[in-house]
Amino acid sequence: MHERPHGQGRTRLATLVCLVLVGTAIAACGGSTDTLVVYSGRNRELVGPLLERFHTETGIRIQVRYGDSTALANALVEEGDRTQAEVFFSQDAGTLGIVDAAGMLTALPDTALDRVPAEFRADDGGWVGTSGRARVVAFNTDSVPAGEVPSSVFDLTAPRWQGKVAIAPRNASFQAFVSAMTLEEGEEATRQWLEGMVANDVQSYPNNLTIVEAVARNEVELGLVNNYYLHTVRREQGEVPVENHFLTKGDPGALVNASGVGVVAEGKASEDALRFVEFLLSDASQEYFVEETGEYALVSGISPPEDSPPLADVTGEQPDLSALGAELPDTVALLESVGLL
Amino acid sequence: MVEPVAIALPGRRRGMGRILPAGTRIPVAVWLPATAVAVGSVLPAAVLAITALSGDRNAWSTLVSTRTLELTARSVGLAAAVTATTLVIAIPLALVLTRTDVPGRGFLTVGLNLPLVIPSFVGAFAFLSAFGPTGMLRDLLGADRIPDLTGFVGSWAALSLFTYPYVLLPTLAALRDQDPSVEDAARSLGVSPTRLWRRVALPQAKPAITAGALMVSLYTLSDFGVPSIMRFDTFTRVIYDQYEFGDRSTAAALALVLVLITLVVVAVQIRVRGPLRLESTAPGARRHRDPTRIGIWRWPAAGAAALVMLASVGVTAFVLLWWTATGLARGNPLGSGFGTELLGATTSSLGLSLVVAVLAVAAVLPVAIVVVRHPGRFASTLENLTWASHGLPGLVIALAFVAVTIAWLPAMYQTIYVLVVALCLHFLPQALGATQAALGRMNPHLEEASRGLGRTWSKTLFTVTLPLLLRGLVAGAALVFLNVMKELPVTLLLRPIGFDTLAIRVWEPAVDGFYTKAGIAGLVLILVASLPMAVVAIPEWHRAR
Repeated sequence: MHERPHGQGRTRLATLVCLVLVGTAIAACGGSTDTLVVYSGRNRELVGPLLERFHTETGIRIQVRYGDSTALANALVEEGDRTQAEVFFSQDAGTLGIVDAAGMLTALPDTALDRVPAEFRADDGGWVGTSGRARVVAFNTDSVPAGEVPSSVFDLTAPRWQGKVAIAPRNASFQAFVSAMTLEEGEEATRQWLEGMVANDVQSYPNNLTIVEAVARNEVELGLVNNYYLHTVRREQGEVPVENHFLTKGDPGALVNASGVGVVAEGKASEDALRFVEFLLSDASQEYFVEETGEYALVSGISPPEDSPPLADVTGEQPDLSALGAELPDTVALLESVGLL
Repeated sequence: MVEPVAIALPGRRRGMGRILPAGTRIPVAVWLPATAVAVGSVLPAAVLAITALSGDRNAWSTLVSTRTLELTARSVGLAAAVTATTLVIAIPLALVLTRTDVPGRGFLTVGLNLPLVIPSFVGAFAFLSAFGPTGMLRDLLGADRIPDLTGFVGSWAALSLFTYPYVLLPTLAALRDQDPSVEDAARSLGVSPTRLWRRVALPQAKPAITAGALMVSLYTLSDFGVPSIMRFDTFTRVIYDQYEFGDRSTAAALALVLVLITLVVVAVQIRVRGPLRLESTAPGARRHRDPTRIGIWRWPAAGAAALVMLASVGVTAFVLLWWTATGLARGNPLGSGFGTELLGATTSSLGLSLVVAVLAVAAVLPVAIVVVRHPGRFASTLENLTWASHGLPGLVIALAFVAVTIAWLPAMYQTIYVLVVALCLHFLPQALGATQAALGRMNPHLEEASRGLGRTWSKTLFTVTLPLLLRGLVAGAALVFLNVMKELPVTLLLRPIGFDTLAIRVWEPAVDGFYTKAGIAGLVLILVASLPMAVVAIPEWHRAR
């Protein structure tokens, strides 16, 4: 004896209609199809105004999917040729390398590539660096006299720094640094250094920002971070007792990474996408990175960020940035085996 | 590892040994949608199984490493500690709020449930800013450093303070729904109120309490925000790491372990809660309940409740206000269009939460009817399946949906529909617990009477069952609503391009250090969420007076 399900059918229909209505209403806010779709691993707070400027200058509408660089790279690879993305704007070279290795980035024209030094672009022209970020040691100026900050990461295993140094083992730029160290110094030396750090009670933090804040509060005395986080903290919190110390050029801890951009396309890049790349490499945008995000410009002729040496004085011999992406699984395994992950 | 024997466990079953409902009296309009919902809930777990099996190398060897065992122990230990603590916090609070004349009940009811809307990363952030080794409390005390609150202790404290409402909200609904006549009678015979609560009120609320406890334990198992900010390594953290920079098959294999743990926890909960049918006379014949006058004890009781509220919502709101105030005082720019964007995000959050809440309650209703009215192996299978994915971190659910939509429904990828369905499935159990508990408290004789008097099955559903269930359904919907408001990983990965929610608007600036903006958005999130909380709580309060 089965009852007729009319009543329940009706509710379900009603909710479905309701869903469709609300769904359409929400989707309607989304926007039209004739726009440039950008996947941005760089966050809205930092690059949002710049993207708005692009729209004002060119009239090209942009839709941005903000997210974590690694997550977006994974999403791009998974979406494959079904992706809506035309541009991948990423926080670090390694993730661009991953998407490039999947054959999803089309070669950029030389006019764009030649704007930046060779070490900050892909050999196959798949991506080009848009700004530089140097690894530095942030130190608390109340606890550590400037002269006492080590000039090499290898000195951080000394007893003086026991429990006083912060790192962010989950952070992509820390991992890129470990990858670079492995390529330069070999896996054994890198493992020994990591084990030495663990033995010296190194403190792990979720990311670079929390490290600089912890240094500012004197929770730790030193932190291995990228140079521009101090800029963010100062901008939001005013003066803090923290300075960046640049390690000796060529030290594995002094890696200069790049955030960059690639065009997602099979074959030829669209005109709008190329204009976007050119826009990011223009002098005005390069100055924006220096002033607003505290990064290094990669195009020559633009002064370094406040209180920082010129880029050429910081960049030593370093491995190919594209190769760092491929090194990642081994680096993660290494960090796991020493107990940092 | 305990075998996942949950399916065979449920105690008192009546009749119906078969899995297939053929030949039973469950109406097809109930078992069909119920089965569909349960099968849909298994989808993420099924995707995981496929990913794990198709993995190339050491996916399975990771499972048996000592590190995995250690992490399992840490996660389970944390979940047990947090669950126990939330019970200790929530049960007395629920009794005080529903049974006594404690002052400010309406305000306390809204305020005490508000932690539901605080994303755990915000809570942990606030907690650390306030009580961290170099936080505000240190500055206040003028000390150099205070004891470290990170690690296990910090995770335990923060999670307990932000998840106890998962127990409180359903328990409040259950205690209020109880027929006061039993208690009145007992009281007139001179039974003391505390004994009454212990022997009558709480046993009847057991299904609601255990459902809440289950949600707390699974929330703790699957949470990423608090352990990562408190720097405490858990299972979920490692799953995140594997997805982020490891291989997906290992991540999937690890996540499957979480599914197994979930099934065990669900089985334990089904055991503990006992039969769901606890109806006395009908809640339909509702009568006024006089609150027990507790005299001078009103004040310490109110004080204790206020203290819990202060430690959770209070601290968070204070830290958010602090961020906002100091940032604005310093003249930090908010950027043009900040207000409009925030308004847009608020509208999106409200719309999305409302749709998902209504759909989730509609979807679990058939499951609840089967579980409560037709207990048996089929019922417990459905229930287990519905819960199976709930211990999974949001990231895992989201990635399963990404994989499925890209492979089979590319046109739906990154549309609002997929987001709604995913959130709905993710939070089904939240609605299920409350709905089941409410249905269990409802006397089936009322439905039978309606049928006996000639009403059709569907008419009975709409004129008798649903109106009597309303309070439970609203409680379930409220839980889902507040969860969607604060949800992050699923929304982040599945949202259409350009679709923002308030939670995203708190998270994005907070992780990048723009605390002024994060503070404002966080305060808006809490305010906006207190409106539906107030709608649920304030009529109750008037009634209780």
